[in-house]
Parts: sequence; structure tokens; C-alpha cells
Amino acid sequence: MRKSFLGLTIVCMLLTCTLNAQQKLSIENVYKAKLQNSGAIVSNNEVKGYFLFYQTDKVDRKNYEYTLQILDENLNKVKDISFTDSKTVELQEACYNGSHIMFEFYDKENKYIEFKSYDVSGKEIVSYRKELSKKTIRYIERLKSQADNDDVQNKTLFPVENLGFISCIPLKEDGDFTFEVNYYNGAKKAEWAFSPTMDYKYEVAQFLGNSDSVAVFQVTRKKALLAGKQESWMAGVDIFTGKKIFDYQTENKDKFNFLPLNVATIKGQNGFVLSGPYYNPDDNVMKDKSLGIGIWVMTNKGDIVKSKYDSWEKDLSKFLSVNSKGKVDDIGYLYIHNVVRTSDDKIFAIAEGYKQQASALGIASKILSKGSVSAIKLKITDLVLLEFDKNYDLKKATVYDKSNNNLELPGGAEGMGPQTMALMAKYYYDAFDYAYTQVSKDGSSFVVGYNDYVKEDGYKGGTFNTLTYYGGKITTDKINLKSDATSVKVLPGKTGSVVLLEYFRKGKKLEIRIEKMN
Amino acid sequence: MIKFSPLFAPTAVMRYFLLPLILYLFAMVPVDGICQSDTAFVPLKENEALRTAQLQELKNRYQSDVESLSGSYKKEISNIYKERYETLKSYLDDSLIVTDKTVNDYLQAVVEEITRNNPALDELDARVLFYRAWWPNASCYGEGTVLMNIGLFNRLHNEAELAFVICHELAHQYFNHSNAAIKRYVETINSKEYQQQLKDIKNSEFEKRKKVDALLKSFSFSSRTHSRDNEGQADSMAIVFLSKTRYGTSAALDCLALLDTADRDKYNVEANPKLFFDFPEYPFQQSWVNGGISFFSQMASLEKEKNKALEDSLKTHPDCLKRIASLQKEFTLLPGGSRFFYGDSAAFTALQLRLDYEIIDYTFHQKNISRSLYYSMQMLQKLPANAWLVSNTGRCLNTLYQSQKNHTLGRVVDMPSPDNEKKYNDFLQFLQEIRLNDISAFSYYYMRKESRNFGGDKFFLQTFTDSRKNFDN
Repeated sequence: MRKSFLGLTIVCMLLTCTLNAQQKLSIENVYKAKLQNSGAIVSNNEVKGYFLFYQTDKVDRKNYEYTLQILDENLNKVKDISFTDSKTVELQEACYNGSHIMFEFYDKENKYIEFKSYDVSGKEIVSYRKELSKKTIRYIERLKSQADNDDVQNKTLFPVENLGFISCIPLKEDGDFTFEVNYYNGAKKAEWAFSPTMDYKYEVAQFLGNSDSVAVFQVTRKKALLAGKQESWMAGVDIFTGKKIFDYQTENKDKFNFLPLNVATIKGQNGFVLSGPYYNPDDNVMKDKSLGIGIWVMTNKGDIVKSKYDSWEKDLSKFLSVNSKGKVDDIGYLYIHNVVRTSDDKIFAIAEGYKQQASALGIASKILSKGSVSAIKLKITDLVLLEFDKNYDLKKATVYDKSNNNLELPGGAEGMGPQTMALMAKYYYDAFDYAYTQVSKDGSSFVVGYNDYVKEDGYKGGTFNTLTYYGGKITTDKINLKSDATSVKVLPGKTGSVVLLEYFRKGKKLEIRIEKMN
Repeated sequence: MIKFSPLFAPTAVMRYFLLPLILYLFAMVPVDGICQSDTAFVPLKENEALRTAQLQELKNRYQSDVESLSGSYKKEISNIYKERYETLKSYLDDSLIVTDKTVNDYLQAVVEEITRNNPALDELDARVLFYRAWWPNASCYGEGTVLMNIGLFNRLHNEAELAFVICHELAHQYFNHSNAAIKRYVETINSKEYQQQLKDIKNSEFEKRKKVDALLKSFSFSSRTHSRDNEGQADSMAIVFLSKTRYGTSAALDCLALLDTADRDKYNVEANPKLFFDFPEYPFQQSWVNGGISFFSQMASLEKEKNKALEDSLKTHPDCLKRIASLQKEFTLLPGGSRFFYGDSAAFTALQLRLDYEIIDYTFHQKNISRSLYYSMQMLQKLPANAWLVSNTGRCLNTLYQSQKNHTLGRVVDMPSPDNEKKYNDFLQFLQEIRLNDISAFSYYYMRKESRNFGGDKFFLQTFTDSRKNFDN
């Protein structure tokens, strides 16, 4: 996750002494450290700390000295790590696995991705470099432009608690879009790599999570690039050996086609639980509407022990008014952002409504100038929290009202179904109001953050909202994004908190503080 | 001479008789606001006349210091003097300096004993004042102002130790250490040699940071070495000044030994939230205090340990143990007086207790609610029957509740940090763990429990009403 926050605070953080002399040279005007980027150090969606990545010196024509400044969850500076590297290197992601931190560096010019892990003393433990082809670089650049948002989820680097780290890198080889999974054990330097061996032109993998011994991936595959049905697969790789344990198409595995979005483990049991939307067996998960939410209880070998399907039409209609198309009245279809299993054996699905509507702007644009705006737009509606019991029966559905948010689409989007539009809204336009879900380490609480815009007596403007599950209850809270400050930005903080950045133009002051949500 | 406020400056003839009298009276009579009882606390009064007089003296001294400047760097030095003047002025404007007549008279009586017996200090035009700061420190600003932090005064064992601290700071003024350091600093950074080094760095293409670091390090080591030498010189001179008073010079060693442990709180106990916030209706949850040591805290500790050697070499003050060893040589020559107090030690203790409350109240008004609450909870373990401390605990919780509700908690509580004292850090971590409803419940149930004892206290009743309102919300 890349962010450029804390920018103004860091100007002098590395300069411990600033000396001034009028009309004379001072340290400030001969040397300045340059902040390249900053972001959160994340462990399973929990913010554990932050990093600031500086370019601190030019070593020679090809290399720079960099300083990686590590801050704890309370924004205290805890460590500076300096090293020399190519002048074109960028820091992509950071994560923490309970005993080590790992950083992912990317060098577009020299064509490589490098992973470096550090122990508690700041000593480098593992360094692994993967050379990339030109085509892969182009592919990664395209993916990067589509995935820049404020979510706390890592995109390619993931922690395996107290064991190691998993990276899942997209590659383009021999004209095929594929991927490679790597595992690094920070302590023992054990490594393995896993590459798919199937005859597909297009394969994209998303790490979902891991059980005690298996890393689980959702894989989307296509036989041909321009044609053919998109298939949903699930792959399991042994964490300790890197050997494939299972790899199968989820649509043929049970009575419904299933798109797993999330892996949860059950304390004291082997195996894992998958959850996500389900579809008719012949449906295309990228285009067709989901029928409801499905849950599969799995063994570590990938066998289904139990499956449960809660449909929008039958089950959700007990709580919300649902029409025959599985569309919730007023809210539209539901896009599931995340599924959380809490330590008190409840399962929550965080969803957001969306529906297709005629766009006045698009229609006018077409009439006037055969314009580039689609006559159909996507309307993002309310947030919906679905609660299931330990038997995966839907027990409650609560709608959290928010202002509708319209996404105008480019001309030609008329042919897309609402589901494809929703995927574009999520991954290309970052148009959903949902921001993130954070779960506490013991699973007893979680926080969902989302944006809204309100027009109320005394306040008109943006708000940042949270739903917090704590002590068996859901509470809501919101922060107004318009204040005495010239601008306000809210970023994910440690669980239950947000980082507030308030910039006051008068006095050129940037106030950064951590605030707990209620 | 040591400057007294003109309103309270005794004549030379009267000084000799007034000092013991003031200290004696202080001991015998509970002074207005200084609580001998367990329940009454009235914040110190601001003395506008004294504050105005001090402001005028600061201004006069600043102007005369600037006028006396000469040489090549007059402008640069006068800019630093101006900054120093404005800082001290802001302390007086913001009531960071204690101007209460009774408390100030007490301090001036001790200062008077030192200056009366050390005519060399007469020319210094110095003023010694109490500074409302919780951390243990005293400082000499170089233009005559010596600030004695309440946080240091409250940890001292006796008046003689107070006298030693004042002697030490006056010795800095006597040797003109601060102004000499300013002059040295300005001359260094404007010197041909330093400017040439900066120019070379600016014109170099590579390794600028490395070169800047080396330059800064050599500059820092040189200035820190001067500072350390100055500390040794001030310690020795302080013994000379102290030996001429009737205070015992052995207090110097006790005082330095105390400074070695000054990072500990005066009431050196855990805040112990469970002791206060465990109720049958709202049981205390262990998860609120089970934070454990995070990876990043461990990383910070290791980093601190690693940097200790460098920190030690950059410290402006040498280790207290080394200062003690060095001072011990002076004692055979300078036996000095033998008294630890002029008046009754009870007066000293009463003033310390009075200022303990003052710090708690002042940190509350400065919106440092976490510290005000922490000190209250520590002190309550020694003085459980104190209505003001109980009420302040409720008041702090109510402020935390309102702040968290309005998302401004981060402005009134310190965040856990590797630089904090462990006990305070644990308390801050606890504040991070509890939620809005927990705070209102703590306040309500705590105040309800205590209402049996303090139901008649006005401050308590007002706080309890607020607690109930928040709880019912």
C-alpha cells in the first residue's frame, strides 16, 4: 500500500540539527532528505506500524543511499535502516508476521522485485531478488495503476504468522499471463517457489489466507485471452514444502459455482473456512449476479466437509425486501467486500449495494456530441452488514444508510452487466465508499471504515464512518471531514483507531494524531 | 545582586532577620491554599503585580544585553537573545511561572540566604522562579533567569538540596556559560572554516549526507564537551557558594544521587486501574491491561541500547555518579554549614504537597489529561481520603469521555512511546484499550462509590453530576 501521508512532518526528522545563519550557508540549504513514499506495515489487515522511505544520499551515478524509517502503531519513530541500492528502486509494500518485517522493493528500470526481511534488531535476515521480463514490467505497471487505494490489505505480500511471508507476483511469460508464489521463512531462510503448470493463457491468483499448513489462493483462469469463459479455481499449497495440495475449479466442486473471497480458521481445528458469493453452475462469476453468500468448511486437503448457501431471495428476504432478481429493494445488488469470523463464533459479511441506472449526463453527451460518457451509470448505495451464526445461518441483516454515489462510465459500457461494472468500480475506479475492515488479533472485535457525504442541519460535507463490533455489539461513529482545518484526511490506524491528518493553511501546520473510533 | 521583585525585596538590614522569620512562619502557619488537611485544595493565586514586574525586568535585561553586544556577529547573537526573551516572556504570559506571593516568598528566602553570604553573586542581576513543569529539571537561561521546575523541587529531601540546585544554576550565570555558548556557536557556524566545509558539501555531487553527518558530529562533540566541562565547573562553584551558607554541603551529594533516579515518579507506584475501576456492576477486564510488549517496542528498546554509547558521549551533563566522585574531593576543604532546614521541615513538605496538587491541576488545565489522571491515581494510593483527588479523577475521566466522543482524544492524552517511563506507558496503553462506554462507566461507578465519603464536597458533586450525565447518554 502506497501513501504519501506524513509528508510535511518528515522534512526535518532526519536532520537532527538545523543550523541557520543569515546570508550564509546552513545545513538546511546544502542537504535535504527526500521522502519517496510512506505507508502502513500491516499484519492480516491490522496496522502494526508505518514506514517512511527516504532517499538520503547519492552514493554514485547509479546508486543512492536509502533510509527506511520505521514508526510504531502510535507513530513513534523506532528505527532507521539505511542501505544502498539502485537509484530507481521503489518501496511497494510492507508487512509484519509477528516476528519479522518484510519489505517489497520494485525496480522498473533494472527489472526486478526484491524482498528483504528484518528481525527485531533491524538486521537483514532474508533478501530475495526476482528478475522480471519487459512484458512482466508492463503488466505490473498496468496492475499498479488499477490498484492504488487506501485499503489496508496488501496486494502481493502477505504474512504467515510467526512462520514467514508469501508473495504472489503477476508475471507475463511467453505471451501468457501467469503468476509465481514464493515463500520466505525469515528465521530459517527456507524458501520455495510455486508456479502453475496448467495450459491457460490467463491466470491471476489472489492469496486468500492460510490454515496451519496450507496457503490458499483464489485463481481466475481463461483458456484464451479474448474469448472464453472466466473460470474460478482454488489452489492450496503446502506452506512448509511448496508442493501443490489441491487446485480445482470451484464451479464443479459443489452444487453451485462459488467465488471464495476469504479464508478463516477455526481455533482448535485443522482446515479452514471459505466464504464468498455463489452463482448458478453455468454462470460467469465476472458477469452474472450472485445468488447469495456461500460458506465451505474445508480440510487441509481441499475437501469440502460442509457447504452452506444463504440466498438473497429466500434467506435475505426474511430481513430485507428482495425482488425476484435477487436485488434488494432500493439497495440493488450486494457486493461483498469482506467476510469476518469473530472469536464468539459469529460470521459477518460486509457488503455494499449497487445498481445500474440511466445516466442523464451520458444520454445528453450522446445526443450532443456522440460523447465518451456511457448512457448507463453505476449507483453505489448503502452499506449492508450480514450476520451469520456458527452454523452459517443468516441471523440478521442491517442496512447502514449513506448517500448514493454515482459512477459515470466511459462510452461503450452499456453492454456490461452490473456485476462487471461493480468489479470495475472496485478495482479500476475505487468508487465504492467502503474503505477497509480491520480485525483484532484475537478476533473479538472488528472495525469497518467507509466514506459518506451528508447534508444535515449545521453540517454539509464528507464524513468518515465506522461500524465497530466490540463486546458482542455493533456501534457506529463518524468523523466530519470538514473542520477548522483547510483539509482533513482519514487513514487506517491501529485496530479501532484512525489516523487523522489535519492541514491548517494558516500557520502551515499539519496536525497528525491517532483517534479512537467509538 | 539576586533580583527580588521590587514589591517584596527586603532592605539589606532587614534581610538577616527576615529569612529565618519567613521560614519559621511558613512552618508554623498553614499558608493560604497550602493544604494540611486531606481534602482542601485551592489553586495558587496569580500575582499580577509580580508578573508585571517580572515582565519589565525581563525586557530591561534583554535590552541592556543587546545594547552591550559588539563585534562581527552582533545581529546574529541579538536574534538568539530575542528568541530567548520571547520564550521567557511567553512563560510569564501563559502562567507557566508561579507568581503566588506566599510560594514565591518561600523560594526567595532560600535565594536570599545564598546571596547574602556570597557577595560575588550580587552583580548577576539574577531572578530565581518556580516553573510549573512536571519533569525534574532546573535551568539557567543566561540572562539572569533561573527556573526551578516544580517537578524537581517536589522530589528534593530538604531545603539544603534546593539551595544546592540554586547555587549550581547561579554558578552557570556567574561563569556566563550560556552567553558564552551562544557566542561560540554563532562564531563557529559563521567561521570561514565551517562555511568552506558547507560550500564543499554543497558543491559535491555524491555523499552529501555522509559529509554533513561528519560535520555535525564534530560540531556536536565539541559543543557537548564544553557543556560537560561547564557542568563540572558549576558543581564545584556551587559547593563554594553553598559552603558559605548555613546549609550543609553534604546535601550536594544527596541531591546528585537523587538526580540519578529522577526519572522515576515521585509517587513511585503503578496507576493500577483495577484498584479504581473494578465494580460489581462493571467488572474490570484483564484484556484492558494485557497489552504485552509489541515487536516495535522491542525494536525501540534494542535501538536505544545500541545508541546508548553515542547518547552518552553527546550528553550535556556527565553522569551523576561521576559528578559525585568529583565533588567528594571538594569536601575536605569546604565543610560548610550543617543545616538542612531553617524552619520546620513540615513547611518544606507542606509546600511540596501543595505543589503536587498544583501540577495535577495545572496539567489538567493545560489539557494534558492523561498525566493529570495518572498523577491523581498515584497520589490517591497514598491519600485515599482526599476529596479533591477523587474529584479530579472523575473530572479527568469526564474530559476523556467528551474528547473521545468528539474525536479529539489525541489532543488531550499522550500516546504510548518508548521514551516514556514504563509505569506511565502502561497507563497510556490502558487508555488506548478502553472504549467510550468504558470511560463513562468508570467515571459513574467510581464517583457513585466515593459519594458515600464526599457527597458534601462542591467540586465532587459537580463532577458526579457530569459523570451521571455522560453515563446516561
